[in-house]
Amino acid sequence: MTMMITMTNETLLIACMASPFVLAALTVLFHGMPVVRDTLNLLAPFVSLAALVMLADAPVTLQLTEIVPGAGIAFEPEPVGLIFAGLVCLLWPVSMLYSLAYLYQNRVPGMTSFLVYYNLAIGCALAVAFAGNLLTLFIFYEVLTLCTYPLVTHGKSREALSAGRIYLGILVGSSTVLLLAALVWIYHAAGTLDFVSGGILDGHLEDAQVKWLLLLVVFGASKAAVMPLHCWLPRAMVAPVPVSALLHAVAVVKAGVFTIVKVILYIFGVDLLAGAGAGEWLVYIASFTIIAASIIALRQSSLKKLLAYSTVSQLSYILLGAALLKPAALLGAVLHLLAHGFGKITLFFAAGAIQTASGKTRLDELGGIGRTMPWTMGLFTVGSLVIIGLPPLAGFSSKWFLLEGSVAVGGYLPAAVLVAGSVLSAAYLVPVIYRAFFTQAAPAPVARNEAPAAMLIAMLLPALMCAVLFFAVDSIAGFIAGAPGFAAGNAGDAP
Amino acid sequence: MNDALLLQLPVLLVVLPLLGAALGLLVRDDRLVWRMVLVVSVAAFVFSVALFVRTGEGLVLEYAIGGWAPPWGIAYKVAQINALMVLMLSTVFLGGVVYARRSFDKELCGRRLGPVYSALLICQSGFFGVAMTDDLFNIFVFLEMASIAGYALVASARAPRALTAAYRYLLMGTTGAALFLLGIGYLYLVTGTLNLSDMAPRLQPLLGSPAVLAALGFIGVGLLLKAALFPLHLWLPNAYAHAPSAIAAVLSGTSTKVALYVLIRLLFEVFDAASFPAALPDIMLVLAPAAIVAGSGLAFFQHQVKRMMAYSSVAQIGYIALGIGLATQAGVAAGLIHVFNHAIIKVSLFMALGCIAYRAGGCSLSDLAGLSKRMPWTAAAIVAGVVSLVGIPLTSGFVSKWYLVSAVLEMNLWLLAFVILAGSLLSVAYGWRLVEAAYFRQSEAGEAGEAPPAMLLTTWALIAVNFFVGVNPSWLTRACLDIAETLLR
Repeated sequence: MTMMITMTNETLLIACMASPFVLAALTVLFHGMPVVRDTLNLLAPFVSLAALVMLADAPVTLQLTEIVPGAGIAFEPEPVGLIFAGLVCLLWPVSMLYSLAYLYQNRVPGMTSFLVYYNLAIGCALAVAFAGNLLTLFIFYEVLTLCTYPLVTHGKSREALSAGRIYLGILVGSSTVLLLAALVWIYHAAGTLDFVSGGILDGHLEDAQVKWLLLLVVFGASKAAVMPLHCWLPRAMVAPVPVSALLHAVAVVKAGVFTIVKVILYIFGVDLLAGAGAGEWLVYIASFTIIAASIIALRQSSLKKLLAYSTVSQLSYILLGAALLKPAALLGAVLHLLAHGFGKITLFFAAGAIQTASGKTRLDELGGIGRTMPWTMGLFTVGSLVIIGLPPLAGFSSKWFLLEGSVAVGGYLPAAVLVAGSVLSAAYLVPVIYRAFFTQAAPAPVARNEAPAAMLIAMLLPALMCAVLFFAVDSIAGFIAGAPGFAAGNAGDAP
Repeated sequence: MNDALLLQLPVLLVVLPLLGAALGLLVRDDRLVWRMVLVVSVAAFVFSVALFVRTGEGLVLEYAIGGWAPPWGIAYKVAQINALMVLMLSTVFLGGVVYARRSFDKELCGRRLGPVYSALLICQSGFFGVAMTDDLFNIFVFLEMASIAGYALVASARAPRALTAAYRYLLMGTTGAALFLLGIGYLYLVTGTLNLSDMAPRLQPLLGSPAVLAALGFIGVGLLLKAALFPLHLWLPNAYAHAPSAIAAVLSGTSTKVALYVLIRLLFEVFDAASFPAALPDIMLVLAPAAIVAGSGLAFFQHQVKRMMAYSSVAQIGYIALGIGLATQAGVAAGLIHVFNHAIIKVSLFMALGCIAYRAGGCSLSDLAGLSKRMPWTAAAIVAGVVSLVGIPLTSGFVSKWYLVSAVLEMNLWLLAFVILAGSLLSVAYGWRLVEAAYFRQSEAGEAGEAPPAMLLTTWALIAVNFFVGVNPSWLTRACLDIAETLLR
């Protein structure tokens, strides 16, 4: 009976991770039959979602191959990974709906190759989420970069090509030089790369070495867009909107943040980092990124670039929460991973809808757009409120926990940065909303020119999720706090 | 395979290609010659797999040529290291032979192919001999046999520049051989033996003596010249760029690797470099990073893609030399792993370039324009090769890089670790020029359609081996770690 159950759980895990890859293969196969191809792309994401729901937090491990002695490709879901996987699996079907609408409406050439790489990227993100050791995580982290490169350069313009160069240069450069060095170092120090509750490095490194190693990881995982390694992200906005929305607001960037959080929780262990005082400089770097990226966002003239800098800033909220090394802050960090994901994808979808319906991408063109596209701009407002962190939406919950954690630390800086970041995000988002609803571009009569229904539905769902997350925050917080790494943090916190 | 037959395999591996080479000169029908060469290569591959499997179980085969007992007669000895080399060589040669038929038809049309195939077989026989013989002078003989065949093969291309390239290759190769022979002479003078197993214990008390140091110097420079370690690489770019595609592919996977293999064996089996502080490994530790940086840097500025890949080889040889220069078990194992992996990666890349040359008639960056449309499978092969050179996970290049960085960090040489890792960035820089040319540059010119299936399939077969090693490397890494342990014992 037990055997049966493990078999089923393994099958579910495989089904969840493999369906994007299978879908990519089928997309190639049905290249010549768009109807079949598109139907498959709309339906297959639900396979992953269903498998994930059935899997929930059932214990399962999957060992595939050994690459170096004692470490190979292995998967083992745990609460933080399941949260990331849940985010991806929930947004994947929505994004597919949106992507197809976007691709057809904007007559984007090369649909098949777009869908193939899009699905491959999703598969890699899920593999990152479920990775059972750091080597597996690293492998799919790297492959994820390669799968998204063709999406960034999909337009094949000169601008896309140079954005692609920067994309590869920074992402592959930092991960192969810094992150891989960190991996080998960890492997040498600890003799393993497994994710273990409480970390694997305790007693193997000196305090100064812990600081250096954390430095290698944080700058190595430059998908997290810590300054100054953030500049690939705004440049990558040259990609079609669905790519910017799902990959560069959710899957890819979150894979970077997720890597850092996982390493902090399960490789270092919260107690080791707190003992070595290694989290401190990460607090400073994250704080700097939050403020600096927000200020740069204020100065943007293109809506997508503004959202990109906002992403850079919000990602560092998650890092800040992780760097504080307190249970509440860690909880806030993981919650913010969800909240920002749902909120930011809504914003990007709205930006894409505006572009599709009216061809407008610059901020100064958006005067009165709220009257021609009330639904789109309404949902844009919801997304903005999530980012700013107002109730009754998910951004409030996550920022609440982050604040609680920073108060627990006792310093003024983190709390001040969190508040200032929110104020700044209001400063760059509210003018967009104001201009859309309360100014008029031209004295022409206002005609309704709403985005296609498919796009509106795709926007509505994540916006709804933000509200759901706010009201269900207790049960989700309980689920996350069940992660073994948090217990270690609690122990250190006890008076 | 029963043991009686197994015992004959080492000598068969050398003799069969030699016999084939003689036949190749007699038979006038090119197609028939190719079939015979194919049969010989398949047999060699099967034999080498058998040897690799059996030596992996700890078996050591010894064969006394003509029944003359060692150390007086020439002995072949096949342990795991020899079997690994033979496996690598036979894989490359088999691939090369399958690939060569259509490629030769196009590139060497109008030329009688019998002698070319004969030279290929002589080269094969020579390399097998180097890999298996336990006699130092015999190593020299076989190495020269293979090298001279190699000069002829490079010169067989129709372009006049191939002649000058081959001539330069010959001059530098022969210089290397002469130095190597001089070193062998010194060793023979002081030990009175040529058998390697016999020589090692006799040399032990003499290790610090000037004659032995001189021998090490001559042998080191001679072999590094043949291995094309920067700055002794000058013969390599032109030889690879102007040789026929199939020959460039085969040579890129064999000639430099065999020289490095001989160096590994002599350094650690004979000179005991792991415990005796010889200067050569340290010199290699200085030259290797220079090779990595200079090779990759020069590769970036090449317009001729075959030259670019040749310079990339210079860089990759640097990685191997780095592992050897560490003179630790982990380092030598990493070097051996990369000998195998780089052979597979670079041969597949040269084969893909040959496919392009087959259709486009040339192989410059502009010939790659629009490749993703005209020859999607070849373009994908290029991407696979470049990604492996960079060392992205799931390719064999990643396995090499991991073990190399591990070996370096084990000695706490952080600077070298960053050179290795930054070197992979440099390979992104030049490799991505190919990818961008193939996928982003448009061109109306050029014949549509892939190269003949035999050529494309061989290329992809090697890529499959590459990914197989990347996903499931333990058979290779374990063998290399065992070998390194035996060598450094």
